[in-house]
Amino acid sequence: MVIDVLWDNIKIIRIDKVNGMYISTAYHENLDAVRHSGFPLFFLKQINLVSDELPIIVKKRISNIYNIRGKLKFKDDIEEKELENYIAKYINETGCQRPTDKFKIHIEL
Amino acid sequence: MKENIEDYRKSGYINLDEYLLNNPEGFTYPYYIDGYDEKNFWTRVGKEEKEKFIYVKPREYEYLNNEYNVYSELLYEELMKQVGIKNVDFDLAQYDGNVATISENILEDYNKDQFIINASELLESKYYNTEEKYNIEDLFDSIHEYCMADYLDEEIEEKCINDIQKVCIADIFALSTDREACDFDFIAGINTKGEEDLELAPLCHNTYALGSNFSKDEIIDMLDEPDILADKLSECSYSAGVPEYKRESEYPYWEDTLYYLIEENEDNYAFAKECAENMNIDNAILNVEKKTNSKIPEEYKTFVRIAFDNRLRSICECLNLDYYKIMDDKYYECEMEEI
Repeated sequence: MVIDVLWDNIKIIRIDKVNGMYISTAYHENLDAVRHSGFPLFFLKQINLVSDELPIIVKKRISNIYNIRGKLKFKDDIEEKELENYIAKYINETGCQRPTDKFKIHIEL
Repeated sequence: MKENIEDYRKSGYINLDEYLLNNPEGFTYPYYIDGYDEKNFWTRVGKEEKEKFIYVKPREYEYLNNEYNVYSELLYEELMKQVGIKNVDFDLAQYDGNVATISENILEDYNKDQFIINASELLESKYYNTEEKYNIEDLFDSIHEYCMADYLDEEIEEKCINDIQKVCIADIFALSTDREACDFDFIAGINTKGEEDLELAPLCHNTYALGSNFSKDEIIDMLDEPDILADKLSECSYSAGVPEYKRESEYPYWEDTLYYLIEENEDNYAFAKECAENMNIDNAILNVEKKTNSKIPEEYKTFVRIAFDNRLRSICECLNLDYYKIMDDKYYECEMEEI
């Protein structure tokens, strides 16, 4: 699974899930460009290179999906894989963006 | 938004459910603000070129301590206006069968390159993986880190911190008990001058101010027995309080926070004095009733007046101010206005 974090539609962070660990890399070539559109460098400080948890920027935005998931009416016998696909589609369509937000999340299962 | 939505006001409340029925494309799906507070969300209104957002705060009846909760939010806003603190422009609404408070997008007057950061994002970035309850000093440290990392001027940092301190002082006057360090929002990004900026956003988390932390029965009991009221008010804690090493007791009481803020800070002392002189609960009540075109329940009005006066008296003792002189000046002004 690969998660990309975008700012103003420019990729800034790539997170790979490998054996249950999240490995983060910055798209350093894009940092100058995002800096000009107001990206706070402070947010890079919170991201661990290797961690067993998602970075807080991603975690907080994806947790919103689970709030909405509770409201969606799924059949009881829905397969976990199908649910994952549905949520991934939802994340990519909405970008997990808050209205006042420039962050966007993109996920590839 | 105001003009259209105003037609749906009934007995003080704007009926958002009815608005939605007649304008099915009016709202897109709600955006939740964050994981902490799942009940509050921004929602999008209209699909024009310049989309507008409103902040909706639905209050399920089970979640409410009493039916006055929504009024306290509006009264709080009026009190803050009197001392020049920016607050979201709240209005009463009914949404999904529950009472709610709504506001327009606070970013509308700002540059398109500006956005809102919740204080929890700053705090969690600095204190990653800790489960401690944050105090205001933690928040100041996080702001300092943010400004350092983004090469922001010291003046910006100082202004942010001063604004937060002022909000905390005004909160104590307005009997707020649930202002947590995460209840602040910041407007960050590039401002209209093309410079990077960070400023305190208008306040929107004002739950449990002006006695709305008590239940309706408690309020009615307290009106009968003023001694209980005085005791309960003096016991009120203040969540965003001082760090533990500055406290005299286990809980962060409001006195500790007030002393911590005004100690060795003349500006804060002057602001506290300004709050004592300029905050007028009667004017706030009048303005709320005018704005919502409805009447606040009489027992709550009486309670708020007594409670606010009681707190003002206690604060005057702490600040060595002459309570009677302040009250005389206030009533003299009111009388002059009437004449």
